[in-house]
Amino acid sequence: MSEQVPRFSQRIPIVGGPSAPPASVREVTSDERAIGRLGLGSAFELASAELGFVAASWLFVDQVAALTGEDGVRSLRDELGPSFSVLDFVASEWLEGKRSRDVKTSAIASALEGIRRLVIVGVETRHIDAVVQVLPKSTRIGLVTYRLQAVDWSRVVSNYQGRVEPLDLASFQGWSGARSAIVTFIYGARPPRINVLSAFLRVAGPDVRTQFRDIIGWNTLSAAPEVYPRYLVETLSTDLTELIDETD
Amino acid sequence: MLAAVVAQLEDVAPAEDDLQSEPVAIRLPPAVASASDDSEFPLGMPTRLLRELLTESELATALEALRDGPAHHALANAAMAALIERIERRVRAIKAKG
Repeated sequence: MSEQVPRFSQRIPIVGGPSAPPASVREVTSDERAIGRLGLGSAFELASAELGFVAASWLFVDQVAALTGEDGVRSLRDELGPSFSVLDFVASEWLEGKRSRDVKTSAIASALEGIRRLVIVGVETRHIDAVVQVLPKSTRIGLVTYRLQAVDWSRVVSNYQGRVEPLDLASFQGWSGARSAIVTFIYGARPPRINVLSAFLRVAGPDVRTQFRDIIGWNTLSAAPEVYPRYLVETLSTDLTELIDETD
Repeated sequence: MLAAVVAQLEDVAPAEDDLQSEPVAIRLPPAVASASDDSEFPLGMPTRLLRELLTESELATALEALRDGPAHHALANAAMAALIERIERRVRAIKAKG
């Protein structure tokens, strides 16, 4: 009797949105069974919440690729992609031959020139690490501690040893001013539409838009994900003063 | 409406220097504003034209009036003043060009 391994057993149950594609009728491979047993859905949920969707996706894709190669990456995408659109996108990019690369900072550094306070909305650790490196020490950096996913914010912020300060929704406007900026992460753009975290919509109301010198969207993906973006929301690029492409 | 007027005027004026302006305060609740030592809107109240037209005391009164009231009113005044300055600057440049 063959081993019964439900193909989507590790998927995080999510309500709403289009239903997931039906499981393939073909036999699962040993690689797929191995990945299914690892419980990567829960692990990716946690990692993406505290590292960011793009950072966690490249981490998982790189590790699965190192362990199981192309078949494993394809299985990872099929298993978790329907729930995590960014992981689906990154895994597809990997399968097309693209590899993780350093975050480019010239455009963001130029956009933030002269800023005294930076409010970051959303978590993307590779991008935050990069921006921390390019900003002068005199520039305060705050991270808005709001996200749909459960996050241990003290754990996230402690990675920056005081360089990044936690800001809640009640206090971030205290950082507004003529030399203040907001940066948020964009998960693919089809101008004028952009995918953002819902936290950005909580922050960027009409009152806030006039209070900051710049409201910058930093695109983390080379295109918009094809899979329904369950953890993301769509808004207009006109909410921003500048949209920086991931290749800039 | 003012922006539409600006758009109709040929821009033959030389490149604009930094706008002379006075800050427009962001009037946040004190508990929130305490985190900031320069809580002002990125758009200030332009003063070049006001300085040309008014005496110092009149300017002070005008600035107080323009920046009084709810923050979004003050910001709207600043936006209108900036557009009026731009219109005046373009009209002056067009007249100078003949």
